[in-house]
Amino acid sequence: MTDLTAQLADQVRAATAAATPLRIEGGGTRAWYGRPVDGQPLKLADHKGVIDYDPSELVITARAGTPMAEIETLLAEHHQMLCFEPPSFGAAGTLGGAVATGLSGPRRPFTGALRDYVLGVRVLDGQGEALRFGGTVFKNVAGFDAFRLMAGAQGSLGVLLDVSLRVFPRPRVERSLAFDLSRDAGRDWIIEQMRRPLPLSGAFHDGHRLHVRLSGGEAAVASAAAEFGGEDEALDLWPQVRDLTHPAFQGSPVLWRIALPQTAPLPEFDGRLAWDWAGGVAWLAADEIDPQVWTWAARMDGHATLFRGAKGQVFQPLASPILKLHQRIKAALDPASVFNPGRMYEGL
Amino acid sequence: MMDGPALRAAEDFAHAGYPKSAAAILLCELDGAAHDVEEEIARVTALLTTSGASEVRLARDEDERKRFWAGRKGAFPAVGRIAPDYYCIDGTIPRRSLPKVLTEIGRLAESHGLGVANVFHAGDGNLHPLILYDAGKPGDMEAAEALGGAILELCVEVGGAITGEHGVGREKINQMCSQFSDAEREAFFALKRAFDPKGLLNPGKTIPTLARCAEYGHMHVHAGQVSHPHLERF
Repeated sequence: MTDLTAQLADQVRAATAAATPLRIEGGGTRAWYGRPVDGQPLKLADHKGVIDYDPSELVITARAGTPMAEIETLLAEHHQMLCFEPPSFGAAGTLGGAVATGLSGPRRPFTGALRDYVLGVRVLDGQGEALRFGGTVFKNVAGFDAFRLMAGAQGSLGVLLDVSLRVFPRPRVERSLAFDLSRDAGRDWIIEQMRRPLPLSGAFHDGHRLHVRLSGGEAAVASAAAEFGGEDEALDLWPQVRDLTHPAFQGSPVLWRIALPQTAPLPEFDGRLAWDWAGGVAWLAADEIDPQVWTWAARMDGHATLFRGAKGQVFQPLASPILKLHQRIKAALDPASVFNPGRMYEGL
Repeated sequence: MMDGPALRAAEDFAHAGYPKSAAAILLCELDGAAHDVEEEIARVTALLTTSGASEVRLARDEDERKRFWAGRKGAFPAVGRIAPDYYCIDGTIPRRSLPKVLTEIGRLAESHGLGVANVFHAGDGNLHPLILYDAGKPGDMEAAEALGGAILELCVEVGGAITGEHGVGREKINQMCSQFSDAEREAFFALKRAFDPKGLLNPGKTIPTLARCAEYGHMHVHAGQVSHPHLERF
């Protein structure tokens, strides 16, 4: 439980005064996600501790350096959870890192993304000023939703000091079922099921079989499982999908994550293809980087990210007016461009 | 949830069958697979009873379910029958502050010489106090606005927000000054300029200027501190 706001603010002010770039570091488990940043480290891992957690309010507020594992354990003790099912890439992973990278797990198409659960943040801007955006209540439409900007901004807009997240009760029952359906047939089938009020919480195709997770009350899960049929399987498949340790993501030098409309055709590039998020994200394990993936993703109104094997470009290239808008937004909060410059894009 | 004045007005208007002697009523709806709902009803009933509910009523059928809601859905026009005018406020608070805030709203209403009926979304702590006043009476509307402002500041004080769902335009712009610091407002302006460099889009709405906040705060001395002490005042 240490509040390092004052020291961090001093470091930021000094960096802005000298125009020295800062590389914001938490637990270091997500450092690979993005371009390398050439800058002085700004260490957040010791700025940690849960500030407020009242299970009846369904909100937790913690400092950015708090390990995610600590937060998830605390929530589990009260039969609660984070609905966006954040991936874990190591025990040292922090709340700040999870929010800054904005990644969500298999539950995302059914319950929403990380950014939907961020209720408020406190951040340091480029002047070292601590700003509070949003709050700790579910409904809050005062001011711009600047806290949502921080989800997935990779630290480029400010230093996250603390974050308030909305939490949810854990489902009473969960089951996982496997089906012998092809990638395309499985996708069509799950899209149909999503139009019904069913307790779906995961739909993943590993390239060979479709896996479906059901979460909810006993009766709802039992009746959906009875109707679906399929083969019962262990639930520990889902943490492997969430953390990308499942064999479908492994064993290739390059791994693409291609987000695309659920009804767009699946990509047909060289490599092994799996999909998650009920067909809303394709995972392509390939031997080398084919830049055509970015072109194809753009044509599908999607975007592609290199999760492994990137050389230079990691994220979907931005159209020039959009990149300029991103630059203006960054300049609004970080005029001296000291926060993780270049981590997302060159010149941002 | 509806407090006494709100539920009595709603009952007289919609005849939903609410107990008019209750201090407040909470409407709670559950949905899902039939067996799950049965189990949840048992849990919720037990919880309400142990929390001191004087009566728990379960809708027997779809007609009764609709009647339970008809009172709530008609609460705003119902309140329109008990006062010439009402001013609807929209603030959010952490749910644990509900008893404290409702008590304090009652006190504030009394000190402003006006009545308040409370109708709100209890599940997310989104309050809709309806301030009863008479626009035909000199000074009543100003008192209603002042009471509304005081209620919203109370919401911020307990860790909530000045608007849960209806937003800030011109109305409520002054209360933005109590929820956000000068630096935070400046950040909002900077973000706005990123999208609207020439300030052409709805200038003067949503985010108050420093001058506006200083003017709004001119009478409000908190803990011996006038707001914005760095500004010269003449």
